[in-house]
Amino acid sequence: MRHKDLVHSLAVKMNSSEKEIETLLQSVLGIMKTEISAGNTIGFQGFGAIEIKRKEERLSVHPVTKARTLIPPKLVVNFKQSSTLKVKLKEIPHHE
Amino acid sequence: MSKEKLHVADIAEQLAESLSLNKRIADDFMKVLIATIEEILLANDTVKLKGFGTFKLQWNEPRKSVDVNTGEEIVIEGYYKVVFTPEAELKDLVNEPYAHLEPVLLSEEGEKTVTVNADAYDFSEQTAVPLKLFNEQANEIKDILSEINSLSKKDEAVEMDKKDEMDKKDEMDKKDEMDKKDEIDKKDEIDKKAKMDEIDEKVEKNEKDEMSKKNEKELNLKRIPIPSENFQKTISKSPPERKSRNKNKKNTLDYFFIGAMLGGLLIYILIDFNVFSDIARHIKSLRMRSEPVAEYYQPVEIEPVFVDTIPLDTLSVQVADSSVLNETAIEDNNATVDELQILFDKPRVYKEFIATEEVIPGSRLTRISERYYGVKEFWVYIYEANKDKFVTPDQIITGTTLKIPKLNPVLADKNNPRCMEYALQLHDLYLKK
Repeated sequence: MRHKDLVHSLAVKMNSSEKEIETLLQSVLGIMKTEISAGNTIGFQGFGAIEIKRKEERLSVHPVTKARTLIPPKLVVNFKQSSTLKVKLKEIPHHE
Repeated sequence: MSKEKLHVADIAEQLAESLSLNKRIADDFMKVLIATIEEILLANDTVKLKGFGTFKLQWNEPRKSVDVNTGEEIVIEGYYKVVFTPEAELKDLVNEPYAHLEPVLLSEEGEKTVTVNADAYDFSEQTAVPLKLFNEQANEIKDILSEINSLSKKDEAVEMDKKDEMDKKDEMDKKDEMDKKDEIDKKDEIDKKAKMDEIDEKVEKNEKDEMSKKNEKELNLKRIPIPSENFQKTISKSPPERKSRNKNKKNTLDYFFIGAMLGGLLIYILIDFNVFSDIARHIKSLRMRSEPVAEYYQPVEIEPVFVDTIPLDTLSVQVADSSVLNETAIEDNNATVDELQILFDKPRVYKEFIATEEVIPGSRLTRISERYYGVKEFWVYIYEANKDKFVTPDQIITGTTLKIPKLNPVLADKNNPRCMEYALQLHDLYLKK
């Protein structure tokens, strides 16, 4: 679902205009971004948590040229789903 | 960097503040937002939040595992999992503290030279080893004799002697067994004599020299059967040699001798199994370089029996000879065959080179051969021309420069099946080593 679709469905649920919802959503995302980049973890009850993880530096070797490269450490965003969400997801049948 | 855990309520509070909204509305909005996202995900759809990231479901296949407690095999069912992929914007924002770091390419220059040096060092060490070995062996034999002389340690000594013999037997080729028997006979005789007689230090030294000489011969000439006269000489010499020994040896010294002998044995075994072939090859390559033609037929006369240990050039002759026998049946193209045979029999001397090639990582002799001669089978000739740069043909050291020899067009004729066959024979020969 695209961003627009989400805004639309939210607007329907909240009984308010899409424009309002858009501003609300944007500010929420802005707040979350600043909080995450500050290193904080945001937990959503019954959904999961967004947190920052540090990937350690490592040595990578190019398989063909055998060039060895030192990859620096980095910070990545990680989402960890909650156990209640996991249980709910189990009920979805697998189609493919 | 703070490590707080924020909840939905905290976000809602901030939201209410920033937009000067009623706190309840903000709270509601957050709840609805999350509920909606969850709903969409449970409908197996993706949720894209602009400027933030994407939530979607990932299917994990069922897999087998083992119950940690019972050890039983269990199957973990396939399941969906929510994954979040941040957009580049968020990624960069999060990684800001480390953004200035960049991957560093580590240079391998230093390592290369180190490995090359190590190799050169290895070789010199290998060549130095045999000299040590001879002395050790001589000591070893001396020790055995002294142990036999001291009657208290008699049993042990015999045991050691046996062990020694067993080891030797292992290294010997099957063809060498005859030779071996002679040696054992000789040794037994020596032992018997030693038990009865005595020997003085001087004569013992003589014998030691003789033994080491014998070993030298054995190793250098690749176990040429020692003529029986040689044995008789040693035997006939040995009785008087052992006449005046026994009493100067003391019991305390024997323990030292046992230790020394064990050490000698160990080194001898190690060298014979691991290092020896390399030394032999090295010596041989040196010889080939200095006088390839002169030495060529000589070894055939001396050691026609010991197939495994003959230097390469002689082996190639043998292979060629056998193929001659096969060829006699084919009368048709006798003339050309003979010419080729002569070419094959001739030791190849590489004087003209058409190019040089530096070995880079991933280089293969076959590929180089294909580039220069059009056929990969002729790698053997490149190998022959650069033999001194290899330990084994399949180990090609990065950074070495190979000389690509100019080949006789008749010898390396890719359209002639005989040439290809011969190249393959050489191939087998070099890789079997």
